[in-house]
Amino acid sequence: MDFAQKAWKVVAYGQPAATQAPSTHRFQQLQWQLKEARRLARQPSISATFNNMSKSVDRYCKLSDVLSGRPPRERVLVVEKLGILSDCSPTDYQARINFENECRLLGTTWERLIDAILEADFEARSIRSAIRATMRAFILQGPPTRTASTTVLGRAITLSAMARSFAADRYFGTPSAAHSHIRSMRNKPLSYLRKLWTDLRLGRYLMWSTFNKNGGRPFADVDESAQRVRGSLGLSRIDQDLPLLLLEYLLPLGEIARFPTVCEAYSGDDWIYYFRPASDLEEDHGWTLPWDDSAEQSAGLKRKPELVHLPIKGKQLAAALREISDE
Amino acid sequence: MSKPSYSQKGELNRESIERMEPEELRQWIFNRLHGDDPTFGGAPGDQPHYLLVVVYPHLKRTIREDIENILIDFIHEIACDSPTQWIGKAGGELFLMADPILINSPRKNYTIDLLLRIVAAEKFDGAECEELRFRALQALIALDYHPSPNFWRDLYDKHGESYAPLVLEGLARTELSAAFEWLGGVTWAESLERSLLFLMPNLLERYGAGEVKKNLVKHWRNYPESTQSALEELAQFEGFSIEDIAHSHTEETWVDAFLTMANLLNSYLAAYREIKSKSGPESYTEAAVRTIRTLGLIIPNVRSASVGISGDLEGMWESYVESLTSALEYPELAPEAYEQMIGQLPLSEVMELTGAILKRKYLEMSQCNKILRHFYSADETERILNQSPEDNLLDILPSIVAAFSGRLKSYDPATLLIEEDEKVPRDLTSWTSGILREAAGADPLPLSF
Repeated sequence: MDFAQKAWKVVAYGQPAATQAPSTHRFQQLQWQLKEARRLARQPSISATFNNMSKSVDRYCKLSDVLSGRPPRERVLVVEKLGILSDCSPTDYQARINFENECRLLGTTWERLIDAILEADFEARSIRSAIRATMRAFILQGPPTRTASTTVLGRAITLSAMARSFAADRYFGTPSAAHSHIRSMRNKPLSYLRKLWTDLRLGRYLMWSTFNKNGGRPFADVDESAQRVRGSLGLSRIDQDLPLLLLEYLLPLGEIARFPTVCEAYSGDDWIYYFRPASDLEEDHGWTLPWDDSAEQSAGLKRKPELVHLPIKGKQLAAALREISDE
Repeated sequence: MSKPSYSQKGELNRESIERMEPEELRQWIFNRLHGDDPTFGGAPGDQPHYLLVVVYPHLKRTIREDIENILIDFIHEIACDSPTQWIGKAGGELFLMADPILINSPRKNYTIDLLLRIVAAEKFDGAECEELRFRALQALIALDYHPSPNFWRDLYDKHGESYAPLVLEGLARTELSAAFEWLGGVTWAESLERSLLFLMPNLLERYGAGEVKKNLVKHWRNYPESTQSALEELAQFEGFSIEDIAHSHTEETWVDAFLTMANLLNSYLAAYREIKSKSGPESYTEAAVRTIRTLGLIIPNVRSASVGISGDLEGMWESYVESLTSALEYPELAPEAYEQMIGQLPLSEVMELTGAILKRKYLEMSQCNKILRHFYSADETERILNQSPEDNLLDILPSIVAAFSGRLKSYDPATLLIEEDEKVPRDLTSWTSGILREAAGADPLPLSF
């Protein structure tokens, strides 16, 4: 049975394990499988050529570019397993869409991801674990952004999350002590903050940052509420009742900021829902994905430029800590 | 099997957690801590336990208790069964939830027992379990476990600087003074300075500026200059007066100077006879008198020293009293020494001292009378001079030393008034105002040279 036939069969009869009526995103998933099957079936002749090319010249490309170079059986399996994954939750579903649209991963990275997915069992947990492990090995390998070294970057985080990160990094005995410390550092002069935090890492594995495309500070609008900042950056809603700390900083000399890719989005324990890879038309940097619901707090939210980089230390801070809330 | 549900936007539906059966909840938490709860759209960099910590306070009481019990079961599994699947990051995530989830659990003490078992067990000694052990120690602090200070000090001795923040916080939670005492004695390292500066806001919140300052002052001189400057800067920002610390530091210097002078005088007097036979009649006396007078000048500063000063204050007063009583044996030094002593002692001790001096004929009655009149009324002086003389000066030395020492320690007007009350007939107005003035330290007692 070739790939197209199998895909049609899936559309016609559903997957063996499926017992419930197809939900909206389940239907979208099947549509995607069908579309992918049709597309791959149309270009078998170029797959071998591309396969050889991707091995000899590593370049940024899409999953489909590399997948098309694989044997039909492997293509079917990869599509099928991504389908299993995307049936689990909106975040997983979005992950599958993002893998399809990502165009800034190197060919070798895709090859490794495909191998890992092929080795995974036919269950979401195993597939997810395979993806995560592969993505972790390739973080911060997207193309460099076009940003000046003097660009002031920004990050928003709750005090509680930051305190827990500091305790996990062993700067404090407990999150509670870290919390007290950060609380006391709010509104302290920048010079003092930089001195005290000079070697303190402000992120764990990597940092996602935004900046002001027109120059200046990323959080220049002091009147913006925490909710709107959270919404425009597409942060988690789970702690949306907590105030946000705003950090503004410069990258150290020689440190490269990069486009955010699926590697950064899906290498963590929690996968990020509000993430879309930058389209291939974007030449300068990525973009945040703002909340897109119809709630009043989300109305008129504008996306912000986005990039990723290695965690910076406190000495790179460019402004004093600022806390904003919704009150 | 039900599991937490999420909206199309990746929002967690809290009610879906509350609908879960305990076993389902257990499985979900286990998966989550092991990085296998993909359905949640988290923020970049959030730790897996963060979701639970944020959600926990908003859940129903029964579910909160379920979660507490599940976490304790997991810890039991590590401590008593097989820890294999918790070694590494997952175990760390588990222990980081001690605060706020386990801290209010009725089974907190049982949890502490389990954590102690983990910390002590040989099976966790290997490098691969280091993360687990460290996080268990963090959990112990979070649960307000108060062992003996040695528990924390030994950890530092064993693991070194990387444990400095943990050990310092553990000690401070156990006993604030133990933390500062440890800092004052341990070989200094940069990590200690950073740990102290980082922890200070928590200490100030927990114990208040006064208590922290008192402990800071005790060991102030043991900190390197750079640390002192950093602490001064921090104090300035935290709104407590650094002048107080600097002043206390100065006072400690006064005590040191005083002790040095008293010892110097002792040594000088020990060789006094020999020096007297070799030197001219003026020079040997002048040196001793100047030293006694200098001690008298330093006294007000020593007296205003705070109770927080470390060191052997009792020893200092003994040395001082010994010097002055030695000086009493020499006619040319006795008036100076006597005047200085009665200028500071309470009346009861003045009476005893004067009696012993007269008995031994160190001074004439007229000399005593003249000196006493600088401090007491005619009636009081007469009463002092007419009492029954003490037989042995040595017998009263302990009470004199105690008087000096006691007055330094309990240096408040109320205590002094109570102690002195009804002992002496006196001009109440001048007596009371004298004590108050003395206690306030604003106006040193009159000394005539």
